[in-house]
Amino acid sequence: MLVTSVTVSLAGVLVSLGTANADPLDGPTRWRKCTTDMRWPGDTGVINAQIGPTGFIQWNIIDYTDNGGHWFGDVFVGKRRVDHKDQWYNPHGSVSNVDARSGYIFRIVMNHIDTTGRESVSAPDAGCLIP
Amino acid sequence: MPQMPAASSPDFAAEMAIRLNEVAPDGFTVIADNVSVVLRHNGEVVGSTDMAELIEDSENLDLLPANLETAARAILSNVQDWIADTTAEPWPGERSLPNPDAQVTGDRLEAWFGDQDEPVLKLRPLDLAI
Repeated sequence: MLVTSVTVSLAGVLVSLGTANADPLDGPTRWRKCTTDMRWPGDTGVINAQIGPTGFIQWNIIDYTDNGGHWFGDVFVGKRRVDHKDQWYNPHGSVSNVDARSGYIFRIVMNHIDTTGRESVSAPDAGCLIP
Repeated sequence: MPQMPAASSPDFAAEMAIRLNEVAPDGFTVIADNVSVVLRHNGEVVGSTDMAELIEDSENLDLLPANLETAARAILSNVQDWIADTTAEPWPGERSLPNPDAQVTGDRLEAWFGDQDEPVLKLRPLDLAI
């Protein structure tokens, strides 16, 4: 989910209050299971993901108005970083079924500075429980 | 803790970049910048990834050599994505994007695209003991 920085700050507070987790990477305590059609829409863009029959997870991020600019961030399975992006167009990627370990949380933490300088960041609930 | 192959993050990034540069299409250059693998197209940076850092990730040292494989897969995946996005053609191969994969056996890392038994493209093996 792409939202403005202000909104993300609010979301982060709400998540922290709800879970008492000190580490924001822990995120919500109740994650939905990863499915073949997942979307996390936000104010400025949307994250899409799907888990395939072999356990590969594919994902992409789309900014509603401006996919240019600088994109950078990480993909996690649990607290283990499994991918890093630093590029100049909207990112997409896949996580191998070897790295997408069952029982762990798949999460995307991505930042975007668009061509006008507007900053967005993915919200903490952009993730799911790997079945 | 399992025996760790002797590889530092910058060395790993450098060796991966060398091997990817050997197979990159014309116009593309793969280089290493410290722990990052960087793809350039006609001199312009297309993207970079610092996933080589994973192999010295102090929180996940117990997962070596799995971290080497994960880092290699991510580096391959990113370079594949950047090339395909730049050319609007699949790479490597001609029909679809073959999945990247990697495996550590002893002190040797092998990385490839496609099925392990019949890869679309295989990189020169990386000796982790050097």
